[in-house]
Amino acid sequence: MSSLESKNRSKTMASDTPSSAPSDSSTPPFGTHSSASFSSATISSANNASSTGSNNTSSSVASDVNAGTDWFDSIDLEWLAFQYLADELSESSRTAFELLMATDLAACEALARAVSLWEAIAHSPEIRVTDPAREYAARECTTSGSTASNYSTGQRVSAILPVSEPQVASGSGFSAAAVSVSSGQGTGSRGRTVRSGQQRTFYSVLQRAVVLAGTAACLALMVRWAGPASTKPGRIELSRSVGLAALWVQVADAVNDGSLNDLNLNDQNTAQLRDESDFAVSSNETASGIRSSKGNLTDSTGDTLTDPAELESDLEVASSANVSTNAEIPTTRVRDSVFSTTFDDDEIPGWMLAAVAEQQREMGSDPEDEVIQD
Amino acid sequence: MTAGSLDQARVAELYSIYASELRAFLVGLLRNVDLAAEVLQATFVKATESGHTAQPETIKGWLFRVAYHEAMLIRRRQEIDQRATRRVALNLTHTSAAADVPFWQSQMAERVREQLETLSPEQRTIVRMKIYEEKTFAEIAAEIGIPLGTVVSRMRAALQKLGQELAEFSE
Repeated sequence: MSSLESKNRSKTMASDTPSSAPSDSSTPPFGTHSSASFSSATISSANNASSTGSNNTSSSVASDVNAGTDWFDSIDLEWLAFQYLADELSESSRTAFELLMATDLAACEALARAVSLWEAIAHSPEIRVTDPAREYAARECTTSGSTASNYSTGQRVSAILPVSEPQVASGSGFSAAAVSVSSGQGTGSRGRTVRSGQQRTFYSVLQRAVVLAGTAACLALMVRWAGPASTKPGRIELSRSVGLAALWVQVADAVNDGSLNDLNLNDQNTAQLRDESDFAVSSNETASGIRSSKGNLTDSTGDTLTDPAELESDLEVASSANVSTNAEIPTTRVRDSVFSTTFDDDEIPGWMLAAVAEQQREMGSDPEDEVIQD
Repeated sequence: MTAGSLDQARVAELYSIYASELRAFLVGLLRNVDLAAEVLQATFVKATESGHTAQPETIKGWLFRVAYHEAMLIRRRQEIDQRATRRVALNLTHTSAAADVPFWQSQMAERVREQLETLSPEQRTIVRMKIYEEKTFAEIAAEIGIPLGTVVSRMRAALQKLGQELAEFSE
C-alpha cells in the first residue's frame, strides 16, 4: 500500500501546502510530512499529541501493531486506519490513533479511504452471495448426499435434498431457498422441497415397481384362492377381472404420466403435484411452487391458460393461492382428484352421492339440503 | 452574510470537493452515518461562519480538524457506547442497504467487485469473513485453522489490491 499511500500523500501535500503558502496559526500541521519520513513523523506527532495523557502512545501504536503482527515491519497508515475501523486495535492504540488524527491530515485521509474501501466492498453484493452459497452447498448439501459446485464461476449449485428434509437458512444471511431456486428446484406451499427431475424419475420408477410387485402378488394370491379351473369357475372369472383392472390402472397411469407424474393426497385435502417442472399445489394454501419452463397450463376444454387469475379459478385454488407460471396440467384431473368439493352435480357419480348421503344420515343431517348443492 | 464569513459559493465549492471524503472520515470516527451527516453539516456551517480564518491552501486541513473536533464533541456529548459504535460493519451494512447509493459509489463498488474476483480464494475468504461476517482476525484464524499472521497478511494484501483500484478510480 506504500505506492497508494505515497501517491495520495503527495497529492495532499501538493494541494494543501504549497511552498509559497504563508503560515497560519489556526491551521493544524496537516500535510507536513514527507513520504520518506512519514513513519517517524507519524510516531512523533502522535507522541506530541498525547503528551497530556500517556507519554508513550506512539510506541504503543507501533508495539500494538507489531505485537499482533510480527510481519508488520513499518507503520502503514492505511493499514492502521483499517485496523482502527475494524476494531482490531487495542484501547491505547485506538486512542493514540485518534489523537494522531487530531493533528495529522494524512491519518484522517487514511481513515476516510479505509471507510470508502469498506463501503465499496460492502456494496458489492456478489461476494456476499456467492461464497456463502458455495460454502453452504458444500457444508449443508454434501451431508445430505448432494453435490455442490462453484457458483461464483458461473456454475450452479446443484443440490438434491430429500423431500422430507427441511431446508434451513444459514446464519450468514444467505437463504437456503436461494440454493434450491437457483438450482432449478422449488419449494412447495408447506416448505417442502419439490423434487428435481432426476429424483422424481427415480421415485416414479420406484413407485411403479412397488405397485407392479404388489399387483403381481395380489394376482398370485387370487390364483391360489381360485384353485383348479375345473372346480371354481366363478373364482377364476373374478381373478381375471381383477387382473385386467390392475393392468388397466397401470396402463392408464403410464399414459397420463407424461403430464402428471405424481399425485399425492393426504387427509388435509392437500395435493402436492409434480411434473417435469416442479410445482406444488395445496387446496388451502398457496400454489407458489407452480413453475414450469415448458408447456402451458390448459383448462378442461384444452384452452391454454396464461392469466394467473384464470388459472386460479380453473384450478379452484383457494383465494390465497398464487399461481406463478405455466405448466401443462390436465386441470380436470387435478380438480377431480384433489378438490372434491368442486364437482358439478352431473359429474358426481351416483355411488359417491349415495355414500355421502349415507354418511350424512349417520351424522344426523339432511342430505338433500347439504350434499346436492352447487 | 456577516463580515468576514466565507461566501456561499466558496462553501458550496468546498462542499463539492471535500464532502464525500469528510463524510467517510466522520463515519470512521463516529460509526454512525446519521451522526456523520450531522457533523458534516455542522462542519460546513462553521466553515461558513469562520472559514475565512483559514488559509485557502490549508482549508482541507482546517475542515478535517473542525470535523474531528465536532465529532469528538458529539461522541462525548451523547456518550455513545464505545463498543457498540465500533461495530462499524454492522452499521455500514445496515445503512448501505437503506441509503441511496450515489452513482459514483455504485460504480466504485462495481470496480471493487471486479477486483475482488481477481483476489485469490484465500484472500477473498478473509475479506468476506472480515467485512461481511464481522469477525475479528483472531476468530477468522481460529475458524479457518491458520495462523493469525497469515490471516492478517492475506487481508493486508487484499486491501493493497483493492485500495489500488480505489485510488485509480478516485483519480
